[in-house]
Amino acid sequence: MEMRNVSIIGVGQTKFGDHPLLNAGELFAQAWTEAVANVGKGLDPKLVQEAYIGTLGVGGGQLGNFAAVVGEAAKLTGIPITRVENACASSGFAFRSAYLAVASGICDVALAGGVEKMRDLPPDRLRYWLGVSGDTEWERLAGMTFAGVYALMAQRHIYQYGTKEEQLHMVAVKNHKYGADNPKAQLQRAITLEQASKSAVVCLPLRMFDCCPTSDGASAAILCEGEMAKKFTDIPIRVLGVGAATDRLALFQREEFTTLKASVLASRQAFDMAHLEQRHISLAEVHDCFTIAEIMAYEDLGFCKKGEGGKLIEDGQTYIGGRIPVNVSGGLKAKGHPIGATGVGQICEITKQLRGEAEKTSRQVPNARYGLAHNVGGSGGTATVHILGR
Amino acid sequence: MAYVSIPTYSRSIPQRYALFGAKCESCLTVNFPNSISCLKCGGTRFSSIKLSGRGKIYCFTTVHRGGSPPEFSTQLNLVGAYDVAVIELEEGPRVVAQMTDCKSEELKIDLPVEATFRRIYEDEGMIRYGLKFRPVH
Amino acid sequence: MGCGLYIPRLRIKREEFQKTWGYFAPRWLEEKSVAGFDEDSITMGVEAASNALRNTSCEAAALDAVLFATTSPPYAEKQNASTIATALGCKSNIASLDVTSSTRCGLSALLSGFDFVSSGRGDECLVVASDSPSGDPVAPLDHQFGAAAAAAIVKRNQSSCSVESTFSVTTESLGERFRRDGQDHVSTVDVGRYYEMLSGDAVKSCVNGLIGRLNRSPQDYDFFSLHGFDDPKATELSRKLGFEDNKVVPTLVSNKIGDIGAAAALLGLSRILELASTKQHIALCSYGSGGADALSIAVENELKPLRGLGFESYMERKEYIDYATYLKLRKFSRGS
Repeated sequence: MEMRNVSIIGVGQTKFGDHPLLNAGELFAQAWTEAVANVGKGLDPKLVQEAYIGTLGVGGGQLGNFAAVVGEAAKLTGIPITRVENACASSGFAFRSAYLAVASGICDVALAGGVEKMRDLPPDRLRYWLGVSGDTEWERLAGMTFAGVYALMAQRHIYQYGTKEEQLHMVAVKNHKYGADNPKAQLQRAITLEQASKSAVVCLPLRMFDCCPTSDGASAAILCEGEMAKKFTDIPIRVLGVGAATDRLALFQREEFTTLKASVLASRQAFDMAHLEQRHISLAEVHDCFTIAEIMAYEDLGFCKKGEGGKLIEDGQTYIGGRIPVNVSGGLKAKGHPIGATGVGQICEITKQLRGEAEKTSRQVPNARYGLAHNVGGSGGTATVHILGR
Repeated sequence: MAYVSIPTYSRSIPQRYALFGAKCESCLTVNFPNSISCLKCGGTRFSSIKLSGRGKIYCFTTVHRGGSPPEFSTQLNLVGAYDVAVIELEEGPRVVAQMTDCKSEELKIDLPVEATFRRIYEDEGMIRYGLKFRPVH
Repeated sequence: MGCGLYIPRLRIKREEFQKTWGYFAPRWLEEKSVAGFDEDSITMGVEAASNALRNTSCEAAALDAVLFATTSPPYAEKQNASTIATALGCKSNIASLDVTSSTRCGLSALLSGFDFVSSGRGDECLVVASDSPSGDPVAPLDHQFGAAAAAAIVKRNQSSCSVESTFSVTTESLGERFRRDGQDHVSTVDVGRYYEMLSGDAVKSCVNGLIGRLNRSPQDYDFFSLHGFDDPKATELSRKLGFEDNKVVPTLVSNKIGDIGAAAALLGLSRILELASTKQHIALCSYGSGGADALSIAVENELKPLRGLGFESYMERKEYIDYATYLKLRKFSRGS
């Protein structure tokens, strides 16, 4: 079967952060409405034939049949809607599913999105939900949630490659700088290296500013068959590379703790399909749930050699003007991480950057041509990499 | 809170209490915790082997309030931050467990440690026992 | 028969109690052991039992019974011995028994262990005595309570020592030391003189019965170990029974780690076996509510613990805590 080309014609995203008065459906409706309005030459929403929505369902308010809730909220009741859950990579996989639906010819216009409400839970319940995507039987009962697992990765990375704790904090400083210029970001406040180095310990060596916040938020992206897309927009953003993979759930059962195999595999698939190399990429949105995750992502995605991630950030190569701008949206660190919404949120950012539509020029990557979105579930059990191009 | 059910917990009691691992009959790799097929070669026939409990630290972290699952809230509140380590057992497999009977400052990668039977947490009215590790004296 | 012991790392000094309450009730005690937040009589018992197995080069899989003695079982109902047996890796076709309700029960369990083996019910029996009693923090009784465990492997036809005789006495004593069902704390009615008389009589009749049976006298013994009393009283009572201090004092453990309830007798026995040599005779008596048991042993071959597992080694491994931490640990084990 011949796979068709697929393009993105509209994207929308709520501000990530606190939305105490909106439930998950209402939150999604906001992102969806913005996405429809974002379609350059207008789109009749009734043309959307299929939808894939990523969410973990934090809080358990509506764990089952969430698809029906989305249908009602977005006035899409009637079409097939699927809830996709792969932990923090939920909407990355939702996007993949929407892509496959259009590329295969099952439909011409599909919606991919995500939503999460996390800010309305008391601390113990929230921590319970934060732990559900990890290995429950062994890692959790040894007393760890993700902060602990990523802390172990950080320790090994420091031990094996000489990465410095300071380099972890540099990632936070960069992402906060860009988050401050992103009106959709949860944390719009630049921080200094000193503040990051002195912040409260969460799990050594990770401190408060090394960890992304919990967030409410939603995101939406409308995909369309390649030729048909030109009817809806003058700047369709083409989906050029699609990769996804899985790995063992528990960190302690993996061979290496300093790399996420799922990221490596997904990245290779995406680059191969797009017929591109790392040097072609203008910007990347990577999964920095913890600062160490961004450093490992530089290596896993092939932007630098194994072990040199720390050097890349220290040399400023991941700022605009450097070799490969990373997370100019603020990343999960400053933009926020509503678990189900993050993956498509990254797609929204890349789409806007490729169109030259970042709200502030201070965070617009000049002449952006190809962008990469990297979304990871949990401690690396699942991952997607998508490459988009003008 | 966490909800690892009694049957699920109990299925792994020979591992959690007494370190019974599974030695693959094809490639002789020791699997722990047990799985349906050998981690190395995919074989499905095993013989039971009681592990010694001795090993060394592969990596570790100290967990403070923001990073702990709710089962350990009371422990954190009353006795403070705790250390968790991945330990490479002398028979080969890696395990993850809390450290006990030592201060965080004593920990380092490659430190020789041994298993000790302790209370881990409580759930559904039952004390959930298991193994923690301490530096070898 | 061979032994093993375990003393938890944490210790608290008398000064901490003096700072908090203005006094420290047991004048004979400098510091005592405290169970860690993740320890209880079961976990301590598993440690002591593991050590006993190592010291005697025995395998858990060969055990035919596990007897567990304590006054502070984590479960009032749900067998505790079975947890210990499972943690050690015992086979499933064994007998298991919890023996509780009195500080006497440690030695009672050991005597039952002998019965199990000598009756032919099994070849090898593990007896574990482990305790971590606690009293109301406001009351003086709590001041003396420590935590520890000891274990003995009893085997037929082994050559380290032989049991020559036993004797038991059962009496009713009200309010001396008790804990009602559902209560956390051990209490006492504290009519001191009266209890001294009762316990003294019980011990006298038990010890005299023991050595009388063998037509012996106190001079025939190299060690006499008496448990169920604080150390000054134990020494005084032993003197009255005709045993010189030099035979008694080395066997006492409470003055070093506190009142460890049912574990005292077996810990004392482990201690003596470390010190005793071939051909020596040991008499042991343990008193608690309900009466007293006594035991006479002849040492045939020395069986010393492995390096690092002996009493002195455990005494050296310590970390001091303050009173606030002591209270937090009590709250954690009672309140969570």
